[in-house]
Amino acid sequence: MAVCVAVIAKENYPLYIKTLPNENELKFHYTVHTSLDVIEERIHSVSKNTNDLRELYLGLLYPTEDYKVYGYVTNSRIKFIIVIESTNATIRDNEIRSMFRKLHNAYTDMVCNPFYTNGDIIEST
Amino acid sequence: MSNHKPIVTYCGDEALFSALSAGLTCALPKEEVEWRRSYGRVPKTVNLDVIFIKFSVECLPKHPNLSVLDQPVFHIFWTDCSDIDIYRATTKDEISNWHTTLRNNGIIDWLIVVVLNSDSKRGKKSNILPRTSVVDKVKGDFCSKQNDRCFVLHEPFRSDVKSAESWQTFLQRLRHLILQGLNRNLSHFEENMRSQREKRTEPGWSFCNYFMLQEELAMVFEMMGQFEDALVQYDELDALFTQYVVNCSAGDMADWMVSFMRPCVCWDGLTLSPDLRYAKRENIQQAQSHLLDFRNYLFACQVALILKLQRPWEVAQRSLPFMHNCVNELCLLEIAMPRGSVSCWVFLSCLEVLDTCENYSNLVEFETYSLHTVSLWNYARIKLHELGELCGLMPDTESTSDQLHMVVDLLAGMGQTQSGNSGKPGPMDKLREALSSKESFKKHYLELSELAMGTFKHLGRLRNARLIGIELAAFFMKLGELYMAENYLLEALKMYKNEGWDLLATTTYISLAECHKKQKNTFKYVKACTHVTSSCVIDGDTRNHYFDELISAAQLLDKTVRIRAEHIFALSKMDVTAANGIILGDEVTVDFCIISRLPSDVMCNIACSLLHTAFEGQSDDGERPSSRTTSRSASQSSMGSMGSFMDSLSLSNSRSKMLPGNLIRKPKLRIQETIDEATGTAYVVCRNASAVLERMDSHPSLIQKDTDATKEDFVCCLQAAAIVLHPGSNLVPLKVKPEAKGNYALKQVCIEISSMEFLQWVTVPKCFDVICDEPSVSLTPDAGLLAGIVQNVELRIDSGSHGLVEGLVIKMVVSTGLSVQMKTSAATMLAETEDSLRVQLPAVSPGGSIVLPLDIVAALDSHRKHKVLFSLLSFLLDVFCIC
Repeated sequence: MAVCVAVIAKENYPLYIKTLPNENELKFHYTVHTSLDVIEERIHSVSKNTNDLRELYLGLLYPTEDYKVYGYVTNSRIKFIIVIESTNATIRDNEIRSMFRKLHNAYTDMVCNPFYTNGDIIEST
Repeated sequence: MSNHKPIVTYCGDEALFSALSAGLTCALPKEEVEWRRSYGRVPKTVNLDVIFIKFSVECLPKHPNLSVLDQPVFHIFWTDCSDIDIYRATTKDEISNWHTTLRNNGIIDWLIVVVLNSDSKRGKKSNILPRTSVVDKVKGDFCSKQNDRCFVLHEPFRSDVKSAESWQTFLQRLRHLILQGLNRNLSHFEENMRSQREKRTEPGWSFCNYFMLQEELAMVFEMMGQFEDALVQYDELDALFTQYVVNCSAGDMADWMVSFMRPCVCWDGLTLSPDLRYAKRENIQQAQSHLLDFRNYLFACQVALILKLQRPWEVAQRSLPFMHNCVNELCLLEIAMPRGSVSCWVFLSCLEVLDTCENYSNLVEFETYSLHTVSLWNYARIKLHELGELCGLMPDTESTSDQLHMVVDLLAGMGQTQSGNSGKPGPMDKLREALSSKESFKKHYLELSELAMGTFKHLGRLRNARLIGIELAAFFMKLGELYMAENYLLEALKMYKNEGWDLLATTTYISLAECHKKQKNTFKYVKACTHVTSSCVIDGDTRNHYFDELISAAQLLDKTVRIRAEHIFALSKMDVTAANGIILGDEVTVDFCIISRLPSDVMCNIACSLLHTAFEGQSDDGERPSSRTTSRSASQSSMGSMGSFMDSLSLSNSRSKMLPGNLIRKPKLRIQETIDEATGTAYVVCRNASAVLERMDSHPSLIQKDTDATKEDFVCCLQAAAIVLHPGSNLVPLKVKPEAKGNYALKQVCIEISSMEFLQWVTVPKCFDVICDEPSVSLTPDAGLLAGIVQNVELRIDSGSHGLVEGLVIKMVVSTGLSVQMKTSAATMLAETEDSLRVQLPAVSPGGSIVLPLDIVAALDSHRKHKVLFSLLSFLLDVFCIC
């Protein structure tokens, strides 16, 4: 079960960040923000070989003592970040990939909404 | 103990062997042997380096499958007997005994070497036809089925071609056979190990025993130079243990796990120097070791192999997950650890790994390497910070006696393993020093922070660097060095605002406000408070608190402070009540819709400055409108009439769309028209398309540049005083009485609250015209009148913007030959003469008109144009012709 989910726009500002209700939101904001560094590195390192298609799923970005941070970047540079507790050892890579796939689908649906302007903050119930 | 070598025994003629052993020991490892593995594994090449011990029954293994390392793998019998009789007498029995012993123990890896020396031949009778030689006898007696178990070495003490050849062949055969023996032992051992592993679900199975087995296998691989395989064994052990821990936490506790879970009394960090790591092996064997010790040991073994494989960056890469994993395991298994001990362990281990890696740092590219080490530095820094807080070493606290006790206890639990080099301070010394006093703690903490931050910046991970900056700022605030803290906070703030992370920016503003408050810099404090209080991402209590602080601090200000207001007050609508046709002298009201983001009501005075531009054709005291007329002058146009049409169009455009003070200035379009009459084509080209179409920032900059707010000239402005602005939207009417006609554009809004002024540019162009039409007089019709008869004309007087007052007098003077008469009661005739008429007009409302019908008779003989001159007292007149 993810502890925090974030959708980051191309210009690196957050479109949507949601954390579990009783968690310290500020700490997750910091974690997600610093993980952007790692994402940028990975994007740029792959773009050096411009012929290769970059894989969307980036995998484990970096571990901290309590959390693991996973990243996923779409072709339009929208970033999805999922933070999971380290003690949750039963989560496998496949499950994380499927979580990202669902997120991507949800985001695509939202972009197809004609009332949504690109770059707006996402609101969700 | 780590330098294991395969053991080969020798038996038989010792003197002979000792003569040869030196040469043998040297020569054997010189070439490699190919090792073909079972189970389809990739063949490897091995350099064999052996030691020789004397054969005895005791050295044979009792349990051949349980150990490989200290067992002899090969047995050689040396003899140089050349005389059959001696052979039959003694040697044969010796060999026979030896052989039987070996066979009884099931050993099939042996070799009999018969050395043929030239001097051994001396005493021999030269038989013309030797029927049997010793070699043949030996072969016949012992090696009936395996010819390669007996080798004849020709004259090893000579140095001719034949002996050299013989020697080389001997070496090759020996290598091959030793390897075979080793392989056989190894296979048995592996089989045993695997079967042990299969039994792990049975009761009574102990991980520690199994660990010993697999570790021995790893050691054998290490001995043979197969470091990769050895590493694999350790990795498997690691995974197995981790799996057990996970099962344990899920409730399936294995019995042997209990010994690992005792309360910890020693939290030494990792020791990676090779000679010291084996100290703990005994404990593990006897199941006396603690989880931390076990993990330390396992990781140290893995590190040693990785370093042998020349991959030091992998050490750093593996360290962080290793430490996280350990900490998690300690948590999962709920092992009792004294407070702070885990932090100590992490700190010591980090530093140990970093020290070890530094020794190898010249081997690798710095970039990939520092990527891993920087996380270790950061982790060490975080742990040191935790320890500092725990032990009362932070600058703003005094350590209590409890905390001092804690420090003593923590230090006592470490240092039970000696630190490696006594040359430079090891991790243990650093920690001891850091925990000893506030000063040294501060020094170490700052050192670590700066190192981590510098490395992050070098790697380009600026966000991590800024985060460390924020934590450092908090530390400096405790220290009282507010200037440093402010610097770090401002840097971080700039980044958060640039990237649009509101919560983080607001939190940084809160810290900044605290910092300014301590610095007693009320100006900056007020500015920071405004940001906090107007932010919508934090909770209401904080906002209210900062709002109160804002108001109270503002009252302490002795000078006015100017603040940019975009984040606090938003202007959403501005309606001018009568956009056109405002007459000079009227009061203009503009309704502003202001959205206040403050959490409470606030009393303020609001003003909006106006830029006045007089209408065309009059003296300009304002800015020239930025219009297309100037650009047209640069164009070459041969279409004169077209040009004037464009001019007038652009003029009218310019009046209503003046944008003075617009923040975003686009370069003017320079258009060139060309008409080619030869071919009849015309085209328009824009000369500075690249400048005009230049991309602004690829993304809208989410904040405007943070320049200080400058106040415009508020001489001419809309005003409203003592308005209460509620949170949310407010409709505020602002009024002004313009004093000159022209176009007025709204420029800057200033909201004044006690001694703070909030300034905001008006970005949506909004302006109004103040007109003052003059009264005008017109005569219709003014042409096509016939002379000689009475013509009826109408005199129309438009009253203009202000209307005509009662009693205004109009005087008409006509040229000779023309006579005028008025016959209406609309105006009062005052005087009438032959060539002039004076009429008094009644009052006319603004925008109204009055029409006076006149009769005009022109004399017949005057074929000329007649003029009528009108003059309204105190107004200018229009002159026109009448014919």
